[in-house]
Amino acid sequence: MTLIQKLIERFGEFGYRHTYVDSALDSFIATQIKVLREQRDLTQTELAELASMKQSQISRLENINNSSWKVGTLRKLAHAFDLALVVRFENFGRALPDIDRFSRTYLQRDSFKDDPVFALTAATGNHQSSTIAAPEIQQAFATGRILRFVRPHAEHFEVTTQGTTGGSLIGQEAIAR
Amino acid sequence: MRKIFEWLDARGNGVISDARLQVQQRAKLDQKLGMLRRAEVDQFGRVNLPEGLLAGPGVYGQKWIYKLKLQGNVALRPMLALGPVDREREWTVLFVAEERDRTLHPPGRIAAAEAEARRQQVITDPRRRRPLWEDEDDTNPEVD
Repeated sequence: MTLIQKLIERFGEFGYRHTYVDSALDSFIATQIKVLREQRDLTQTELAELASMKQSQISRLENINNSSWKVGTLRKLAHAFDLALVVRFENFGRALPDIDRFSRTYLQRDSFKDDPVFALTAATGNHQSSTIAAPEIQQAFATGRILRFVRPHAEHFEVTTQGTTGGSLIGQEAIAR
Repeated sequence: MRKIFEWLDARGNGVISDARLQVQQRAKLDQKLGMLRRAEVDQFGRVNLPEGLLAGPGVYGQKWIYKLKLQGNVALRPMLALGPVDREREWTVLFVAEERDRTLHPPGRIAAAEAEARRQQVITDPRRRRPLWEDEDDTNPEVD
């Protein structure tokens, strides 16, 4: 029996599934804060300054055993990272895949200036011929085939793509202007 | 992604699977062990990501032993090791201690020494362990 199969079986118990996802949420938030900070080459002290917090607070928030974080604090960090904070309720069936995908790559997010959707608009404005490709690229983003731009402001678009069947990185696709 | 094993006693009982745990303990333990599969381990054997998942290596004077951190009324303190058959691809849970009122039962040095003895057992006889879950490599091809 795989981990997911075992979880599907054990999630039948109320106390188990709620304890599990509570623990997973704490782990997810803490680890993503650390991953996002390291993605931006920030020290804990530098992030603390950007978020108007103390370094010791950042250290505590990055520890997966911390379960006392607040939405207001996460908002501060979202501003510091220049990211959107999304908080929502989810059914267990949809939460399960997230649990199994936990990894540095999965947790990384680009700040607004590197956000492919907005970088695309800026880049296509400079190259008339590339506007032909833009809807296709945006469609690929919408369907999740493109993960991120490697060089959004370069003369040509170089994108990292995702296979439609498995979810693994299968290579890079370059779209010339 | 590393595979997670559990030590087996002479009767074939798993240190995790056959432990008597409360529902909440079992859920927290499963969640942390699930994360352990994808934990980033540096060249010195330290886990850099996630932060706070493990203490070690070298807990209670045992060079190869780590301690998994789990919070709760009765906090579990599983002792484990990288490998020991393949340190690049595996973890093995060797012993489960409990912490009550900030005191470890059995005491830390005894628990870690027992974990080390079991690690040696597994090196000598790899049949003294089994995977906690079947290999998911074929069903979950995500790259990290």
